[in-house]
Parts: sequence; structure tokens; C-alpha cells
Amino acid sequence: MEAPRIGPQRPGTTVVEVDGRVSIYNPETQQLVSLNDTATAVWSLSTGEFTLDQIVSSLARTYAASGEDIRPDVIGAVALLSECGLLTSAPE
Amino acid sequence: MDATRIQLDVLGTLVALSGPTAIVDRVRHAWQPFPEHAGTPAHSYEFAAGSTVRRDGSPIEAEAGVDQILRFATDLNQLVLAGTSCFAVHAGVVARNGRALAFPAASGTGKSTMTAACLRLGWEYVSDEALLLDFDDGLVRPYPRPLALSPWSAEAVGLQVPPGQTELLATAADLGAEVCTDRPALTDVVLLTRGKVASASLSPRHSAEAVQTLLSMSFNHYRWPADSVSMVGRVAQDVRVHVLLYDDPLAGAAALDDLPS
Repeated sequence: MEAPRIGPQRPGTTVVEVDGRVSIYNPETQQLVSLNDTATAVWSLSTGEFTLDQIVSSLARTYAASGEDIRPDVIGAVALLSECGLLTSAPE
Repeated sequence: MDATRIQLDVLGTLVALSGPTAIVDRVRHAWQPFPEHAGTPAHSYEFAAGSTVRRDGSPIEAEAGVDQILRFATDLNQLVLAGTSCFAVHAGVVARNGRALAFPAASGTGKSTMTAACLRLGWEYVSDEALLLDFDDGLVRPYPRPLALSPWSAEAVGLQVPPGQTELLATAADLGAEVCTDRPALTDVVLLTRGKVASASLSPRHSAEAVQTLLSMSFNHYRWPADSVSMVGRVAQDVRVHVLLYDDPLAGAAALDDLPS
């Protein structure tokens, strides 16, 4: 079975980026979510094109870290984005 | 007893006040930065016998012992902030050379005291209550209502609360300062932390914290949520965020002089 893709991002949100960090307002929940560096990077890759493994690999290269080390942070960021209703679909 | 009536325009909220001349003159003095007007007032205040203040005929609720002018100040502040078309944040604000510093904070956490301390050190007065950002250009609109200082706060900046009053309503002039009359740009957000420290210090925080801080301390972002987030995001691009750790408010204010302009 094909691995699920992360995203895409929920349409209709208001996104602001300040010095590399993103804050997202979700009008449906009326919540503002401020992301840390990892979550900001995960958000940018949550286009519906990439699987969790592909995002882990991409960020591991970006941060020169091992995939094993970075995977829990990526999983946490995807969970946060999903819980806050910022992704239109979430991994199974 | 002499009676006087005046009309004030407080950021577009037009109010009439009437009552004993001595009290109305105190109001006129304390709200001096706001112009008198001749239009039709939206609300009328009446300073009646005892500590009663009526707005549009109904007494303003307040705790027993609160001075008439403080009752008026609290009520008027609520009207002004409810009516503003600016993005409003609960914050003290001072300015210098066209740049504004804001101290977003909840009531009772030192923002009025720090604002007063900055005025003592030569900053211009913008507000001890609200940072008002114009949606059109993101610039600060001064709201120089009289500073409301507790006895401790007043003493910390060299003033005293008159006997029988719970708070001092001080003007910028009382603190030897000028009122900011232009529209400065917000350049610094200072998060106040008071504790037992030998000397005041400033430490930088990520600029993105300005977004969360300004929105979480806003009075009215819920009225225009998406526009508020967008505007704060734009303003925050040029804002630095700091934590000011201090014990003595005047020493804390002096530490702000070290901020690069």
C-alpha cells in the first residue's frame, strides 16, 4: 500500500512568516498557531506531494542530522498541524 | 456650587461631561492631550453627589471607595477601546525619535509603572493602556490617557497618590515628559519580568514572538481576525522582541536606553 502524503495545507488560513518562523491563523477554529523551526519546515513541505519518510529525509539533509534523530520531531509537527486543522488530510 | 460642562473627543469617541467645576477641571487637565469638541456627543457623563458618576443617566458600577474620576477613567477607556478602528493591544507604550517601544502585559504586571519610569528618563508618552496600530499603515496611534498609578507605582517614580484616593491619575507633564504627537513605528516589544536582581538586563527573543504576544494581548483581534494576523505579521517584520528583567522600574527603564536605535 502506498504511503500517505502529508497535506495539502488547509486553504483559507492566514499565514505570516517572521524571521523564518511561521504563525498560522485558522479561521475555522479561530486559533493562532505559532510554529517552531522544525514545524515551520514541515509546514512548508506539507503540500500533499510528500510522504512522512520523504519529509524526514529532506529535513535530515537540511539540518545535517540523522533521519532517526529528526523523525520524532517531524511526527510531532505533523500531529500538531493535523490537530490544529491546518492539513486537509493526515497520515493514517 | 459651580457647575461646568465640557465635551471631549477621545480618539473619535465624543463625550460630554458635567459636574462641579473642580472635578471637571481635573478631568480637563488630565485628558489635556484630547481636544474639546462642539459636535453631538455619543455619551454624556455626569459627576453627581458623593462618588456617583452617571453615564447616559445610569450610575457606573465600581468598587466602593473608588474616586469619581477613576470611575470615569475606567468607563471611558472601555468605550474608547470598544470603538477604536485600530488593532488594540493591552500595553504600555513610549516613543523616541519616531520609534515606539511597547510593553504588552496584563493589568497589574508593571506596564504603567515602566511607562512612567521611561517618561522620567525622557521618553515621550504614548499610552499606559493600549498600543493602537492602524490597519492602513501599521503605525502607532497615541492614546495618551492619564497614567493610572498605584501608590507603589507612583512612589517608584517619585510621585504620591493624594490622601483618600486609590490611584493617581498622572499626566506626562507630571513626570516631566512630553506627549507623543506624531505616529511612531513600533520597533521594539519588551516583555517585562520583575524579580530580585542586582541589575536590570535585556535579553533578545525571536521576533516571531511579537506575533503571538501582540495577538494574545489584543483587546479586539476577534473583530477582524485575518486582517489582524496579517497586519501584525507585517509590523513584526521590523520589530525586535526583548525580555527586560528588572527590580527597580527606573533601573529597568535605564536599561532600555541601551537598545540600538
